[in-house]
Amino acid sequence: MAIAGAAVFFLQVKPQIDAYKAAQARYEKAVVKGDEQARAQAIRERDQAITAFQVAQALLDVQMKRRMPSLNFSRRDIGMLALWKEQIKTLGPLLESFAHDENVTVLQAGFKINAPPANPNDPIFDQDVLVFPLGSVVVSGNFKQVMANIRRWNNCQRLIMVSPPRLAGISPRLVVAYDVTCYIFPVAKGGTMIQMAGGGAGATGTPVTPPPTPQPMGATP
Amino acid sequence: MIKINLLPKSIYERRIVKNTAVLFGVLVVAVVAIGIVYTHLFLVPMVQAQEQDAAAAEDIERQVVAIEKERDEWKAKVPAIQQKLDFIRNVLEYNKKYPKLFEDVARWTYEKVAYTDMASDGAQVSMTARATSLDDIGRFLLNMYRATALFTEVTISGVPGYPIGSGDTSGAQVQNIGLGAWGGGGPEGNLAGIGAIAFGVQQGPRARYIGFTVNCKLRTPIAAPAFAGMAAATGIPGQPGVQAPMAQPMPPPGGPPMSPPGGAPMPPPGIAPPPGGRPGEMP
Repeated sequence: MAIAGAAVFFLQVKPQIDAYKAAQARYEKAVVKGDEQARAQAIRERDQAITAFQVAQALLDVQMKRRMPSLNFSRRDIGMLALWKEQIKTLGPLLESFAHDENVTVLQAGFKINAPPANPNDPIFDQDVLVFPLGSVVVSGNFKQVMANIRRWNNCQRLIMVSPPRLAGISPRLVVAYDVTCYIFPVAKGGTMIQMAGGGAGATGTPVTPPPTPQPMGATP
Repeated sequence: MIKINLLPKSIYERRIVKNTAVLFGVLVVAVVAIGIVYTHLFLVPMVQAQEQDAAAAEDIERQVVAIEKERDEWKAKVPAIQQKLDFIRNVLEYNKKYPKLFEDVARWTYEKVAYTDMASDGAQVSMTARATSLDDIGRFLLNMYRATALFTEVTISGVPGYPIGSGDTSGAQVQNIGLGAWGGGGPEGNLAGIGAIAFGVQQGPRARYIGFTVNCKLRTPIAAPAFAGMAAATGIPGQPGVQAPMAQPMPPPGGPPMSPPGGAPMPPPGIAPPPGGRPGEMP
């Protein structure tokens, strides 16, 4: 009888007990994240992350529309042509036009921008930001006018950073000089390389030119 | 009557054994049956219920893990966008900092002191100034010492020895200009500092000026914003990765009014105000 009882225990009862313990262990492991509260929390956090992304993207879209050209380098060849147009035909005239502030006398505002790369595989198309040091601006006016002139660059259609200005002279003929640098964020960075264009800038020998010499303007006070 | 059982006891042993065997057989069957019934009626349903619960929890856990992965993907997109937004905002703020700094300096400047040169590298402000008397320089200096919200240190150089302007090594400048004197006699100690810069020199007889230089360390230095993705400066304009221009070198102390960079012509210092006299009028 003892043997029969032991046989029943080991053949019938114990396997079920073991199965129960294993199922319980699985449940306890899964229930940490496996309940409705955790799912609701995860859904809330995901929705918050989506909202935060959409808000940030919307704010960036506003600034991109206001201050950045639409340069998309995902198609490197088309993006390069767009950069040519921006760098050669748009940026310089736009900034020189903006630099002419009616409230001050502009003594110097001639910008010089080097030629853009001629190879779509140039590493510049892989950058997050394009930087264009443009040159110096020299204006004359009274103190309030020249300070307003510096602040005015925040209204430009491009993102311009003004270097620490230097003041000289005596108001109302104060002269202030500062450098300006333009920053451009492309909408998308460089995509697939163009095989037919060969290597990058080093391979194609993109010319390196010396820094620009500011050209004085013929403006009169 | 005497009852005598002459049968041997071994005759009953067989029956006893048989009955015992039957009894034990029944007990064994009962134990097995009870075991089987208990297993199938209680243990098996309990195990099935627990397994169902575990499966349901695992299913929900898989969904939660997938949702969390989605959440992390969305969160990972934000830093790049936020970095650009922060840089744009910092540049726009930076462009306003130097004008505000110069306006704050002007507010703390004694009205009878005029600046001929002012520049800052973000850590300090250097000014070349002139006054008509030592008293004015003293009041100017005391004013600047009170600007503790703006500066942590104010140093002045170029204070002359005796006689003023002859052979002192401190670099003092005495300027004789053929143009207007300060309109003297204003209220002393006024913090009408913007007037020192905004209003021109008034017409008047010749005056002697004492030139000096002031260096003020900023309490809150101004640093140009940088974008993390920018490469190191190459020094070649228009090429990728050039940093924002560094601050220009400060003027030497006690020097004459500086020309703006780039060689553009600068009007001579102390140029006469427009005729008609009222300070601040534009030509």
